[in-house]
Amino acid sequence: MNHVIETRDLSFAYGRQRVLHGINLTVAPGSFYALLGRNGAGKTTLLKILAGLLVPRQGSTNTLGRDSRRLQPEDWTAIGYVSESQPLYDWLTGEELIAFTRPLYPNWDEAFCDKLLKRLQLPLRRKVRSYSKGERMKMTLLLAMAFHPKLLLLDEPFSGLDVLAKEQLISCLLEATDQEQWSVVFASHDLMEVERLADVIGLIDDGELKISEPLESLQGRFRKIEVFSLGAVPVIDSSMLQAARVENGFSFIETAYSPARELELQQRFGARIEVTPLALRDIVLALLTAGVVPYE
Amino acid sequence: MNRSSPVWHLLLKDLRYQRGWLALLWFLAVLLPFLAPLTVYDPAGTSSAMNPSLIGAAGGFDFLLGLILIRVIQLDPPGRSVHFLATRPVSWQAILGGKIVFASLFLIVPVWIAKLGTVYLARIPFNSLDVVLCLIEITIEAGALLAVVVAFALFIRSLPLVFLSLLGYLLLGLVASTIWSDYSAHSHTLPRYVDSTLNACRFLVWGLAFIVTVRVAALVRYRTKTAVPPLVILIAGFAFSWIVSAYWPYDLSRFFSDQPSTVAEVASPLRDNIRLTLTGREGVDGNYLEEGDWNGIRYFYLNHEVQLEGVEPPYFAKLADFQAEITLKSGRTIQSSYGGMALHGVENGINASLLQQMAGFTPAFPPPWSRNIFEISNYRPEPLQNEDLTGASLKGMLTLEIRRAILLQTLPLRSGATLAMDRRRYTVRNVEFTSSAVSFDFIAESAPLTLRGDSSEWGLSGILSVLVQNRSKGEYLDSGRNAGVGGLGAEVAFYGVDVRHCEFTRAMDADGKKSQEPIPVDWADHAEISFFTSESCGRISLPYELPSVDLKH
Repeated sequence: MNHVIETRDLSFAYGRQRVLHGINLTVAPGSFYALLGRNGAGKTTLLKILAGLLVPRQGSTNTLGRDSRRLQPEDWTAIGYVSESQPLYDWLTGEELIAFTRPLYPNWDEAFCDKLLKRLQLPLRRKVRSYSKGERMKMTLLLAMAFHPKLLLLDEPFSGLDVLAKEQLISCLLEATDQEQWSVVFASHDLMEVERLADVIGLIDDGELKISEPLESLQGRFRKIEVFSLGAVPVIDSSMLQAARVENGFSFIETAYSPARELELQQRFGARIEVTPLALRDIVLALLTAGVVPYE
Repeated sequence: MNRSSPVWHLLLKDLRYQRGWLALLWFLAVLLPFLAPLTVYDPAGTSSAMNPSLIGAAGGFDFLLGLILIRVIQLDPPGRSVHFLATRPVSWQAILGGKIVFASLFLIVPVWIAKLGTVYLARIPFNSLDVVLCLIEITIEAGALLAVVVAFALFIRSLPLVFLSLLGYLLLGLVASTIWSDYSAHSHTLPRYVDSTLNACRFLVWGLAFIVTVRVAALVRYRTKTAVPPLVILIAGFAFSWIVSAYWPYDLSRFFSDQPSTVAEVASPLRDNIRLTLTGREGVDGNYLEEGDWNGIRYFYLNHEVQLEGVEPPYFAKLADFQAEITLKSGRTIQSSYGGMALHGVENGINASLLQQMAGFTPAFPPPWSRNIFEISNYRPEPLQNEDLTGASLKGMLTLEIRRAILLQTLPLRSGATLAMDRRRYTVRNVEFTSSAVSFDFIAESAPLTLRGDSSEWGLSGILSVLVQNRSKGEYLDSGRNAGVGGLGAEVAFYGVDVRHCEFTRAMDADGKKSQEPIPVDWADHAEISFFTSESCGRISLPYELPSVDLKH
């Protein structure tokens, strides 16, 4: 199995409303893949298709080497699914919910579960219905991790959580994935957390996967460049985004940065240039607002 | 977990979730049998037969059954793309298995217990086969209920679709037809709907259309993995319901019926003595068929008396089938489709005079069995040509069931006199003798089983006849002619109650003459009530023919 997830020309629609179109996605074992995009871009739908909860209209999709439409119960011993909309049996206490879930997994690790419990500090004697949103998410994550899944599918795991809860979740995830070489695919709007966690970034817009690239590569080729020249803003290349005049010249975002490219630009403009690395947030913002990804 | 344990594990979870409601349901299941016989009978016999506390308990029981069933489905809702178990290593077969075991153990069993408890405490006779068939019958009804609930759940989920597309409207109509067909399946009047192949085909076509539409709708709108289980349940439920409605219990009931089959022919020598003759009526020309019309249905009266000979007490006849065909001069034929051979003066299939004779009286018997009102109806009347009005011929066949009356028991006419037979118990209550009348209430309590063919005749009418008599005075009360009778029926908490108030003001002497004096109070001292039933002796088909008849004068 070369990839834990592999889709080919994947399309999906709710009735006549197209949601996903021509998605070709591969996720390597052990990677932390972040799905980014606007609200309604199709991230949750894609995760549900990968989990076999929705059936694609066209194309193929494989999860852990099996057609995701034909995932069997035993496949779920290797897949953890976390979604903020996933209901829990909230009439049980936390302790009872774990006790109910434990026998479903032959690979459940009690010691690891205890370790997670200590880390997440969940109130086990309370009914789940009394849990806060953060506590519910932590419980959902615990139930999806305690059996050492090979693949974790996380849908907006940090949505609406406070700083502390986020930190607890992230440290748990980082520790587990570092030690266990799990593969994680997660959808999130929380770009600061994505930047800390993700190895690979996938950007979905208008139902299409526009970018699927390692974070390091993405951050390596995106730079903000300021050119200190009072001349007119020159005709820009297709690799330059958001060109604008600034106080002492003009600036743009270069999407194909390299030291050679920096030298080329310096010679081309004949002026001093200043190169600044970009945070993931700025990269995504640039992609969504500039010409590469149409923005309405 | 081994292979069977996921079902058990999920079952325990559902049990825990519903334990409060289940405890209440089981409490009511145990309470109802004690409540029903104590409160069901209103001594006045003229108002509601149901006590409010019983209505509350029985209604609460039904409500809880529905509530628990819906809650157990909603807990892991089929058709919903993400529920707790949808992303766990649990097959939908295990989820479905858990739900079925739950419904069987915790919903069907309490209904069964409540029904058997009610039957036992009401002292209605139930044999071991009845107990088993009762469980099967409750399971069938529960299966149909489950199918309806799932269909309803799918319907609710499909509401947006219903209001947004043509397909939705079609779906709505089909769901309604499914619920209707399921309702019909458990209606005692069903055989009227499904007695023809055409109707059965209509059911099948509707069913297939429904399944295809739901499948298409689900694929178009809800392309979810978890849409499969409810579809499987729905299709299975519909198929099950259709089989039930079209064939199964009604055919099956023949094998479990208490009554012997009436298909066999009447044996000799009884058969050899039976004669059917048509004789003209006095003052009427018997050579013409009197025509009439009712709501577009043309019918013909036969102006002959039909006389049956050779069926002497304790035997009597009941009309089982009727066929007639008029052949017109042009060769065209009119088939009868309805035979109106009403049995005048016959109560419960037994002639009152027959009862009196069997009780030791010597009544004046009416002339041999005689009728003149059978009809030859033409549902699609076509105008008759003038040349067809004369010279037609009539051929027909009467099929009669010959039955033998049996005196079951004679008891003093006292409150509490009771007789039990075949899932029924008959009791006499509120016996009152005044200077002007004798009155009593006659109560039939019964627990009918559809699988034993009880649906068509239960309660007072059908299998039992009674005669009130005073042998020391040589008198009896003729329920056919001078009794005031009022009936009241109700189906209450697993069994039926039929209350009949009877009142008599005049007695009849041994020769069938009505006394001119009110019934004396001392009539009560030796008054008795006799219970009669009858058994089938087989059928006999008797042809008849009129070689020349006119249709109009």
